[in-house]
Amino acid sequence: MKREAFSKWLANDILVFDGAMGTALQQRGLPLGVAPETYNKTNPEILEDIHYHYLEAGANVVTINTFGANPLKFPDYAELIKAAAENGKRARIRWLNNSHSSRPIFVALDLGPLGTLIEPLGKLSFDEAYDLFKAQVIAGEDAGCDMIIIETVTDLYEAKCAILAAVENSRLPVVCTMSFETSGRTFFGTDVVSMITTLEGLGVQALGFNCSFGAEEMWPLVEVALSQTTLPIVVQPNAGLPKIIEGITVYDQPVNTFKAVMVKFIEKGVRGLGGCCGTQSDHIKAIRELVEGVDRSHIKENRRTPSVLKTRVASYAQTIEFDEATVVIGERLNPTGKKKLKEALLAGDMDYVMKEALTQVSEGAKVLDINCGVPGADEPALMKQVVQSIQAVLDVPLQIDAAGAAAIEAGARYYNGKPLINSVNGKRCSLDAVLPIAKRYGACLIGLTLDDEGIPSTAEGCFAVAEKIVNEALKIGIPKENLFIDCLVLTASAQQAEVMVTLETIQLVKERLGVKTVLGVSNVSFGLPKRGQVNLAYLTMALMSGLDAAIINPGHLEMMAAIDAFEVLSNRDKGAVRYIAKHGGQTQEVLTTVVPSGENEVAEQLEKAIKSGLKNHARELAETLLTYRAPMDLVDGLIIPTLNEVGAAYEKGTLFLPQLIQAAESVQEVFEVIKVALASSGEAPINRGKVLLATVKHDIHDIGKNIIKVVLANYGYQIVDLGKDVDPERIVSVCREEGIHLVGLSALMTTTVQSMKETILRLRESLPDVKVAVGGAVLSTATAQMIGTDYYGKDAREMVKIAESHFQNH
Amino acid sequence: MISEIKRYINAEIVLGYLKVPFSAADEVMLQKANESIEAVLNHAQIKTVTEVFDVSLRAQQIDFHTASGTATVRSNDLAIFLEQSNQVVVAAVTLGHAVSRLIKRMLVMSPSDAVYLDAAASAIADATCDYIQDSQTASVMKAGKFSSGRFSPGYGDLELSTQATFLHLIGAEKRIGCHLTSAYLLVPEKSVIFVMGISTVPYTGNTKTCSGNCGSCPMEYCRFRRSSVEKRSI
Repeated sequence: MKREAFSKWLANDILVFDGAMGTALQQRGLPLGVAPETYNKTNPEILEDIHYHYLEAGANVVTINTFGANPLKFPDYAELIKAAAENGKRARIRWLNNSHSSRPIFVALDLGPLGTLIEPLGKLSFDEAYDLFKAQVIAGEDAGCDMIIIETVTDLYEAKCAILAAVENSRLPVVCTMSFETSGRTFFGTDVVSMITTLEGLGVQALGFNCSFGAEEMWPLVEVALSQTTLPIVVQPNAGLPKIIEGITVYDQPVNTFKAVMVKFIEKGVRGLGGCCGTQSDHIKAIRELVEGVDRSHIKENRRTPSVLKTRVASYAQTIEFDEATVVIGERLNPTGKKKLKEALLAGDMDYVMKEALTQVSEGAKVLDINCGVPGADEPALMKQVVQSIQAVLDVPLQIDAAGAAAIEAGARYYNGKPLINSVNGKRCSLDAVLPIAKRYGACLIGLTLDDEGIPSTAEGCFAVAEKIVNEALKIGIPKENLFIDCLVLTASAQQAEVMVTLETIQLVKERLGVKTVLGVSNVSFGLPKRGQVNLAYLTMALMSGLDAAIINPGHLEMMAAIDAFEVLSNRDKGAVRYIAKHGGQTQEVLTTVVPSGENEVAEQLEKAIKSGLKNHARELAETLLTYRAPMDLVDGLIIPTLNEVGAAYEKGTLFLPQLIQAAESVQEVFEVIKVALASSGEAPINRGKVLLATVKHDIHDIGKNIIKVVLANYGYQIVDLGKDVDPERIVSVCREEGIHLVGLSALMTTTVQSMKETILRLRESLPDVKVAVGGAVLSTATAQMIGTDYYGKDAREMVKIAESHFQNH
Repeated sequence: MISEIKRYINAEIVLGYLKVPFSAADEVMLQKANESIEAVLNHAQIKTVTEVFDVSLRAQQIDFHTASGTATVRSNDLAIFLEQSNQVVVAAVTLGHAVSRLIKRMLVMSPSDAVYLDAAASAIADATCDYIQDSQTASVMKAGKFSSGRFSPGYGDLELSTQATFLHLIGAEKRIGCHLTSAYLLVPEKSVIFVMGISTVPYTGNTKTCSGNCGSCPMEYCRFRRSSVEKRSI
């Protein structure tokens, strides 16, 4: 059955899934340690029997025994899938012949989690995972399966990956159910709303829940899901909560209890019901009895209305809606006019990018704009890297901002959530390239009011472009609630009259098209003095005209406050609850530290501030001292000697690790000031030498390495950090490409010391001039010598000495 | 459970993970340590799973018996540690992914705070193990039996790869979301698996965190290592 037909069928009927496979196999003697999938070939009669019993009980769906049949676990996965499909089809034929029933029966390819975590939590890349799922999907469709069910997934990224593999490589209907905890989130932190928001636009025919607990515990999740999507909902709960009896997991909820909750599910509009762990034929029989008793006209009437359709974007753990309050989209991760960000992107310095992202979120940004358009960079690859880096630490939804379709697609595909794509415009080439991407990934999309003629000079002209974009998007199947229009503000200094045109266009778009509006406000003040106040005034005018989201700098306190005030004045922040929570209470006095005068006194205070870890004070003092001294005099005459004193105290045991790091952080702040001073005087930045740091292959512990990085950077070394679990080959190739001659390797486990040895061997073979220093809790001088290293750095202080000595002698 | 676990954790313990003697800690350090405990507890989704299995001990081998078969773990040190146990508790503890993400964020924003958080998270994971161990001990004593100390994969000659066997035995992946990397490291990072023996006769061996066989253990920087022991060569 094709997808559209399946969806139509499900709109008018209820699908009964089968029960547990694992439990059934255990009851038929599956021994501990034997993979269930092997029975497809060794015991086909058992599988056929299990399927037959579930069909007898009333199932529409024969879920074949392929839950773990992926290429990672089984080299003969394709044969196992084929055998499983044959078992299911034989059961279907036998039952249809015996029963003479006209009940539609679907043989479903079952895709479970791969059993290996996808990046960033695991080593498996998204593309590798996609290929594994793709292989199973192709094998399943070739074997004659009628549909695909993706189930028991707890990682939203894995669910997205599997769905894309299924939708892009087969024509079969796809159902996806995830496993949650009673907290309402999966083990990875995904909530129901974010799951629905992310997955419903990817081309699935139904979504839902399975496993983890029984029907009663599943009910609250189902209630939320029913209010959030018009897609059919599928539930396959366990037969209660698990118990271990005699070493095996048992589920013993009575069928009547199970059935009682299924009644509620059906009444509320759930369209697919089955059972997971512990459920047997009796549970399926109970469901079938309930379904037969349902009035079919009631099913047709019980469709959810479009009122559930909201404009929203989501990360893996957070959904932001645009209907209730003005949304701030942080604009600072755009390299245009930002030298440091450009340099960081080109150097692959994701720490800098993540810091900027975290700071904007702390300032109140609800969505972050990500733009990687740097001349000379591979923008799609960079977009993927930035998106994956940010989503590894933050759950803020992202706006994928790129001019080219390839970079847009890279961002949307590898994003763990539902993104906002910035942008498409009215040009034919843009519509043809970008609309399909937004449709494919279920993304929200911003349309810019410009076309081949440029930006129209009138509101009606701009509106016409907006209308064209919306109509083209609707034609391709992008729902209206996913669309935004950016009416493009021009600069007041050059096109003053058109500034009001933008506001008029916003009003027209809101009144006549009913889609959301967004604006990059800061453009209006380009070329004018005191840009902040111009932006502020324009922002409030735009809000009054109907602006739904503002792309601004969230660090601009007055702009953020203006939005908060607008929410109160427009009666959206009822009772000014949010406003008072944020701005109420006593005004916090900003404590200003008295900066001493006189060079010697300032220098003395700076030394103390560094040793005490007073970051902000150190920064202020450094700025003052630079009025007396040249930057390199400050570095060589004060910073380095102070760091050495701190290091010596650490060695002596009178100062400890946290204090060492705090001192290092203070020096980092000082170095930011020094870098600016060096740049403005035309001097070269400090670079005492390049050091590569990595945690070796198979080791995922990196906190020690990161501490070394901070301390070495303090001393002016340029660090190339390859992260953790790094292949020896990668270390060799980066050393070669970047001309690095000192490598620091970290390992925390005895098992990974072997990886360290292999890495050193590879370096010796390929780059004999490269020197290696090792460190980590499992190492000693003797061990370090045994594995053939050049240096052993037992702590951060030791590593600094090694670097100093190395770069003096080489 | 959190209120119970809190009894096992304090600033001194956290500072111990940072190798800061309590006598040398200043007010700032104590405050940071306490704040980090609160921050980790606010982000942690502490989950545990504990099951008891009948076992048979043979030379260098422990057989775990279930209704659908036997799972075998090979380790001389563990077999010695468990002595005459006829049952073994297998337990897994995790603080969840949110703590790992918190530490990662802090590594970017403030490495010094990240170090405190990392120490606090390790301490809380251990504290949770202490809590489970004490609960099991109390329950075992009520039944008139005896319990050993804890032993984890990675101690002595108990290979890390045995984590796969233990995880599968107790269904930890499905029940508390604990996974293994290809190198048998637990994810989320702040997760622990341990076993402890139950016996009808008293234990005679060292019931500290491991078998105390420091001579064969490569954990040179283990905070329980006896200083008199020669270091093992790899």
